[in-house]
Amino acid sequence: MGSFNHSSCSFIDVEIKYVDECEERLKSLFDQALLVFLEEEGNKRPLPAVLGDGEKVDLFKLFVLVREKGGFESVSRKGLWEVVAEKLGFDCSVAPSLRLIYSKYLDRMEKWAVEESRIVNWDNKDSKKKGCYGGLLLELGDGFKGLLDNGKCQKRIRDVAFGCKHTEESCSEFDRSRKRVRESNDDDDKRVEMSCVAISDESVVCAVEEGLLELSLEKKQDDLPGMLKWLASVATSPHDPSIGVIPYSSKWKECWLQVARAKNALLVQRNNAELRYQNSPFLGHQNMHHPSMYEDDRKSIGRLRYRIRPPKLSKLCSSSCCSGSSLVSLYESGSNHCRELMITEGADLIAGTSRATERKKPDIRRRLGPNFQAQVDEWTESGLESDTKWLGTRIWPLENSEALDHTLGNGVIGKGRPDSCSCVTIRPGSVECIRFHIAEKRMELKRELGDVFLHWRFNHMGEEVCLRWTEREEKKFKDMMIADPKSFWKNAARCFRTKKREELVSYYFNVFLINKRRYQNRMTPKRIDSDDEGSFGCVGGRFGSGAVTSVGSDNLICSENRQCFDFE
Amino acid sequence: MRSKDKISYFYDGDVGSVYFGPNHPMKPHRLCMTHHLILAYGLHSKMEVYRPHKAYPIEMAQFHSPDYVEFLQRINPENQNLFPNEMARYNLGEDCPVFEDLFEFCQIYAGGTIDAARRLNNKLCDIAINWAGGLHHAKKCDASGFCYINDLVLGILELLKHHPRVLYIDIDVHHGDGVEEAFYFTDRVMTVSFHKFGDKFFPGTGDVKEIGEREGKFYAINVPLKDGIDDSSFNRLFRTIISKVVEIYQPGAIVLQCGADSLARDRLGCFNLSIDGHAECVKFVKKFNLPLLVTGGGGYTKENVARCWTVETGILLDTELPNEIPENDYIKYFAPDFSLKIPGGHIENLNTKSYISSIKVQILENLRYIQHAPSVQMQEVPPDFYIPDFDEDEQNPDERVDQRSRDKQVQRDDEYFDGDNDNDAS
Repeated sequence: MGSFNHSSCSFIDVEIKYVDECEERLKSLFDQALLVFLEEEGNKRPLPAVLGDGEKVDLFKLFVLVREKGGFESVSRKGLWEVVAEKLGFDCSVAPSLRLIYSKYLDRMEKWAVEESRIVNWDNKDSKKKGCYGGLLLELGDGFKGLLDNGKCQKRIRDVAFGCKHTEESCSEFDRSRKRVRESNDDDDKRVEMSCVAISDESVVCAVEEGLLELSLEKKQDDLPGMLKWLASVATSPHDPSIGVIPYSSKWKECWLQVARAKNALLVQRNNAELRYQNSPFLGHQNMHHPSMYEDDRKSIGRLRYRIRPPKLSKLCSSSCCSGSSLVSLYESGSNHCRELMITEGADLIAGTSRATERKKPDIRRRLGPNFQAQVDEWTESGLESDTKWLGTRIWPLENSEALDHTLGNGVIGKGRPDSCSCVTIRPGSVECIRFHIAEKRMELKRELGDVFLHWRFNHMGEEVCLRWTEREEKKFKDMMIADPKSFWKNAARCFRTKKREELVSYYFNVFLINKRRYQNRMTPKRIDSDDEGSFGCVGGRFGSGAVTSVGSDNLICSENRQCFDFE
Repeated sequence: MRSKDKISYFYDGDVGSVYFGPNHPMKPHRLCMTHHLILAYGLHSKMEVYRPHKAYPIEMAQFHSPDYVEFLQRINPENQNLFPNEMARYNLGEDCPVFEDLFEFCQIYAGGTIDAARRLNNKLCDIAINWAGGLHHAKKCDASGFCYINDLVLGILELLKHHPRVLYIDIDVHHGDGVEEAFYFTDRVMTVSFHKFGDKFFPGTGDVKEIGEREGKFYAINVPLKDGIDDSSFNRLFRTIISKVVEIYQPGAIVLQCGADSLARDRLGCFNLSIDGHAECVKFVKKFNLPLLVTGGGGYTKENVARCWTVETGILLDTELPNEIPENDYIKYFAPDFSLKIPGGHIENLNTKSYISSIKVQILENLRYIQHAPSVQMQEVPPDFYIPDFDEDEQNPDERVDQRSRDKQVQRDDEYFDGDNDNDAS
């Protein structure tokens, strides 16, 4: 391996399919091991595990997550079950159920893992001194192998391992050669990461080791340098169309196909993953925001509905707890480009387990680059020509009126509501009085504005809007809204064929909500909220007629209103 | 104080019928209510009202990526299911839903800000108002926080054609991340944002340490605050920082985003500001006598938004508005008090004096770097503006003393009712 190229780019493509394959292997191995454990216990629990409401629980992910956080005891002590629940894409309320499931299904497996870890000593500090990560894996792998040997699933596992030996052996090849290389390089910081790798990785590599033992290595070594060189070229310039043909024997063809596929997948996924990753802090949490989150609860809204931007992608590299990316971080990456590729790929594959570490301060990724900043030119003394054409159309004051009279004092402009009105026949302050004054002001405004009144859509404002609706339509609107406010707008177009959406919206804000406010102002003066789209009270008919004599009203409130008129 | 300012106010009647969807806190109907209230007070007689042109996609592409703009144009509620990848890529669908007439809505509010900037450039007015604008979260290639097109960036780019330096001030309760990000590398725009920071509050950026990079280093100021800040602390901080900024930076124009969610009792906000406190900021900025572009922004309790922006329109017009809201179609929304001003809130103020002063110290420290290295031509004669002389520990020495005492008369914090007839009248 003299010509071994230890620019890590060469590892990339192999890694990718490695990760891909490994995930599958991992899961199947895990399942088999789980079966072994359950059988041992005489546990007749049904698989797959389900929550109370029938939702399936991915035991593999659950196990990985909990192990990463330090095990069952640690998670329970620190109260991290909610976090685990979130990571798996569930609501926090299922945390106790998850705990139960874990203790029922995975207890034995955890005990085994703890035993193993004590043997191989996974402690951070120690691993640095110990050095060879492969060594750790080997030992663990032996343990795992031994366990499975004792169980009945041994044969199945061997078959499985054998099936992907091509890929795995090449990976393990790299692993070994890298081990050699690493001993000569001094690469301490990466080793720290290795130590935190979850058990799942070990079990994969065990299978790899296992497969490795079955085959002879010597034969393969001849092909390796060529393969490496090709992989390096692919990794550095994946877009290069000249990289199409494998320069070596057909034995590697399967590998190459997978590599090529992975490469293509990467290029597509990279963009999506990166951007998707930018948009959600927890990959498992995407699309979790139900409209009901917009409830009137200030605190929860502030925290739940809006999402923070995710941490720097580059920082993921140093976070070791992603099982996929940690595998990836095993191999040092030379270029940032490759690193990102790795991480996004890893993150994609093992979504849900990918952000197991909770950083103390979420590091918001600063978005820099031509895709985010505006193009600001240098200032020139004369300045640029600013458009003089599109300046808005003057609507008010009208063209023919005089120049604005600035000397108008506060007496005329900005007059508020007068303390007393001049109503004589109508009782001042009554429903009728107010209605009259509103209508009066509206007429004044209409007279003043003229056409502008229509321009500004004042004809669509106010309770007058309901005059364009029949009583039947109004009733239908009200019934539909009260029955199911959330799906109202979806069905509205169908039910109100003659009304355009604009009209529906206008009716909603100008009549329906006003009615609601009328009710709230009277009945629940302490709890007024027209934006609360849950509750709908209604008082009186159009324009509040009959409002005062509504049923169920608090007598005290009614009695303050000293009217004795009979409304229609 | 020079002669009365000429104000241009932009409004398009179609904006009131825009509906984001059920249970979505952003309700453009609040713009309709604001306009209605402004007219009820008769303020339209003191200013010129314009209908903005609908911004063309090419104008939006001055900042945004053409793909994104094109997508916004194409997408509608019926076909949004056919583009799941793009929807995810552009962050549409949840906070930023796709609703009917989405693009038209964007055209209206963006057109308003662009037209406003142009009018200011051509010196056709001194102050321009566009309450429909101020959607500061939108980014170059994606939507965010109910914002699709960043009209502020477009307006600022327009202003930059005539002014070497533009100051952007943001008093929305959320960090003005879209605008800051757009101008993070340049010193021709100084962005100052006062916002709540921490507790995973949206958008999560806006720490005091974020000051810009490369040429734009020290040209981004962030004032992170905690829950419950009240009028006096906020105003004191605002005046100190803004006066220092204007003195050092000497902008040619100012853009002020007046998000009303920093008011007390907002659905999504968590400050304690009263309308007076909020409007103080507008009053203060107006005193600099620089070309001023005022926009709306957040604000999720419709009635308070309408009240706030009406009061601020009055302030820009140098008109003191009486507290009794005149009869109008929407008067029921203003129950039970039917008054214009609202008092401050009472949630616990987590901003200790020491915290605020530490923030202030850091910011002023950063500002010193610009003082010594003015990189953007400051040789031109500084504009003839007035920096109010004040001691931050004193009360605001507003020159119109009589108005201040009139303020005191109009409303008291504990006063909810304004007269005998001011009970639930209808």
